Amino acid sequence: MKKIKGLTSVCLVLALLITMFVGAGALADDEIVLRVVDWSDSSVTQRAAFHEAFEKNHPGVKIEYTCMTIDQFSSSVVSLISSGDAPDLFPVPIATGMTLQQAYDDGWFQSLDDYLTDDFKATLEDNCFQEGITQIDGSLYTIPEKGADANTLFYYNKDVLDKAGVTELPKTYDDFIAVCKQVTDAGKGEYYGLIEGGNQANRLSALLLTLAAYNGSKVAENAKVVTDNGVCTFDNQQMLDAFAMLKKVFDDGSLHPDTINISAPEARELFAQGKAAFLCQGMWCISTWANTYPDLNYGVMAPPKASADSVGAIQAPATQPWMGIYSGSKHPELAAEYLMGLYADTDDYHFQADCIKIGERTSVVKGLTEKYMNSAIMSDYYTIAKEASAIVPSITVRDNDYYKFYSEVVGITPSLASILQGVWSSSITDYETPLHTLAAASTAEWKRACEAAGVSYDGLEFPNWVVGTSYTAADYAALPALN
Amino acid sequence: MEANHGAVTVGISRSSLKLRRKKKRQLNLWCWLFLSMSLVFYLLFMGWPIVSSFYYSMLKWSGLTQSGKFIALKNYQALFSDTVYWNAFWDSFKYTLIAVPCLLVISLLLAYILNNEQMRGRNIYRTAYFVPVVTTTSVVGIVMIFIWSAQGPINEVLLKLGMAGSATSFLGDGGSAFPTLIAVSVWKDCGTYMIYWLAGLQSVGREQYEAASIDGAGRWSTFTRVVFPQVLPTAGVIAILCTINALKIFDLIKTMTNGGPFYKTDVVATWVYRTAFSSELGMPRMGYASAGALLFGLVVIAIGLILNLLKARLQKNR
Repeated sequence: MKKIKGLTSVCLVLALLITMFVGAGALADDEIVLRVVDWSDSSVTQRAAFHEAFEKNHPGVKIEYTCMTIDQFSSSVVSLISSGDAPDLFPVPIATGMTLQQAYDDGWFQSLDDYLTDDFKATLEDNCFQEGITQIDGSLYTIPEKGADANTLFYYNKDVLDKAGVTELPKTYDDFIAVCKQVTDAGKGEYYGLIEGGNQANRLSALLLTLAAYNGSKVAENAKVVTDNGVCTFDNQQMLDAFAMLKKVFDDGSLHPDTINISAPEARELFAQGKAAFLCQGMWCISTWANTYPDLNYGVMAPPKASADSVGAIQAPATQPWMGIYSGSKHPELAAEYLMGLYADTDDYHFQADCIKIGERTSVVKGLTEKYMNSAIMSDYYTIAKEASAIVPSITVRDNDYYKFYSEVVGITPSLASILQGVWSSSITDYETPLHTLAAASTAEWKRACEAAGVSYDGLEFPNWVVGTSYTAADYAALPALN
Repeated sequence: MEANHGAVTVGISRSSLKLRRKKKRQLNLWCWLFLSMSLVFYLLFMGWPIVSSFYYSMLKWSGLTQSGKFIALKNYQALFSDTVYWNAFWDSFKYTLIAVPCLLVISLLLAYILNNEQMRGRNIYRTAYFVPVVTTTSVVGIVMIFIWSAQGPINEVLLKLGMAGSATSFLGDGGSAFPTLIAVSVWKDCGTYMIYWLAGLQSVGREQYEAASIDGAGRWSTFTRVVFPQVLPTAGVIAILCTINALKIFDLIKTMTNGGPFYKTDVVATWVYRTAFSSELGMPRMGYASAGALLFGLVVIAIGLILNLLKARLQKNR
């Protein structure tokens, strides 16, 4: 027994020593590790292929890529930056309300101008170069991840509609309610009219704002702010109509009963399993279903309108900042090469093409989307999204100082999404009173935030905005000067 | 001579007192030495965050930027008019007031039944009741979402038995979400308190059961008149632990309902997490969330002190 113990001890000591020397060897090899962090979970396979190609072209370079959730990143980014240990490349966490300007003020990133070649920059769409979004004082700090497409189109399950005997797609709210009821009645508990990721406030909020905007309401993008006649529009007629329609769907029993307690990916899964006829989500569904449900028989359509003569457009998402090079990176040139490779279209690097082909995204590289879009459903999505959406005005594009407003403003609760959750869970029956309260409290909070940020409340108003049409640079130029 | 003897005696007793003090000091030093490691870790990972939270609660800070703006007690002031916070605050107590008695009574009942030495297979039952305790809470939460969903087994049984007209999402309905959550939580934690009760019950000697039996007491009388009075001091400790754990509940709610629907299962811990790390408009509010957490923490500490006093009184009465 003693001998065995002794032998085990010797083996353990040897193992320890070997590990030490192996470790020392790795350090001596002088390998460069480029650390990259983001939360782009829908393209991890394509990213792995890109990393393999990049490492092959850069002997001695190792890519340490971490795909984490935005919550994980948000809770660690400050300590990482404070300790000087942030990854070489990481995105602006815009989903938390962070803007490039705030990241710049805190010294997170360094300018890309010194590292990116002019030839590379020329390959990018013009909207990749926007002051306050990707640039600060004319210097480029970040590149958008993908093309900005509306992410609130309605998918329909053709098999479910066929089984229910639905022959025509709904165009108005009344049609939509009737079709959902028809499907639910036919389903007898097997399938329902509509399913959503009801426990995700951002999805419910996007759905409501889309319906209101598509029917003529002046609303900004999700999580952004504009006023109409000096007030918040969360309780205007278009919003009330949207709530009335969604409540009717619920009251009819046409909403999938699990909706309120599931996330968007779960809703996507149940839709693909034939548990519902309609689902409101973005382009990302296409690549997911192509992998998991290649035989799914589905189509995509624009959201329904309150009535046939309603005029409006879905808010086209603005270009968003994404990956930048950490100000303390020891390998900025290499990080820039990584970025350029990520957007390249060569024999070695084809990450963008790979993502477009599977319907994961449209690209910000000129001409690539059209070149590689080979999926009919993606093409439909792209076309409908372009036709149904319009660019809405943005207060930060009007004046970059308004980023201070977003640092200051506080969301009012219960929010739009919470009120809809209340309706869909039978927690509240009257949605009008909380909507009026929300709108009044939001108006007051926006005024306070403007005052605290030192910007004019009038700047939230765009009097020359014609609903349903894209807001252009000329429109911004024609705005009255602010006090 | 006598005086000399007295001086010697005083001298000896002084030196022995000195020696005893020295030994006591040495013993104390050793105690502190052994405690020091845990004390250092406690200060680093509990003490410092609490102090930091107090500082953060006075900042207008998102937690994402390097620094926040000092706003003194304004976060606390804002809390008093935040209806969603107070809803979560009262829900935490509502949860505690319902879950703790359920947990204590059911676990005591189970422990009393399983404490019967004549019962066959009692170890199997004990293990079975303890399995949910050792199962990861998030796993339990995910499984429970399915079980209580519209297409889960519970709905299937209810529909087949004709006890429901249509499928219901128990966790998605404003009326049933909270009771369902409590039911799952009681099921999950019952095993822990059952073990505590079992430890208490095993301290009751066999001869006392036998004496009660000779006196003609049935199982119920034996329990109420012999066993329960003896385990009452243990009950105090179990009640305190159970209450504190109930007030801290987070993981099960986070996975099962995330505080929804429409804040029906929102407790302070879920409110703090949501406020500190996410936002539907503007930035997250780490400072504000810290203020909410500290305010609640102070109330919980106060309750803990009161319960401790009660426990001391119970022990004194014994």
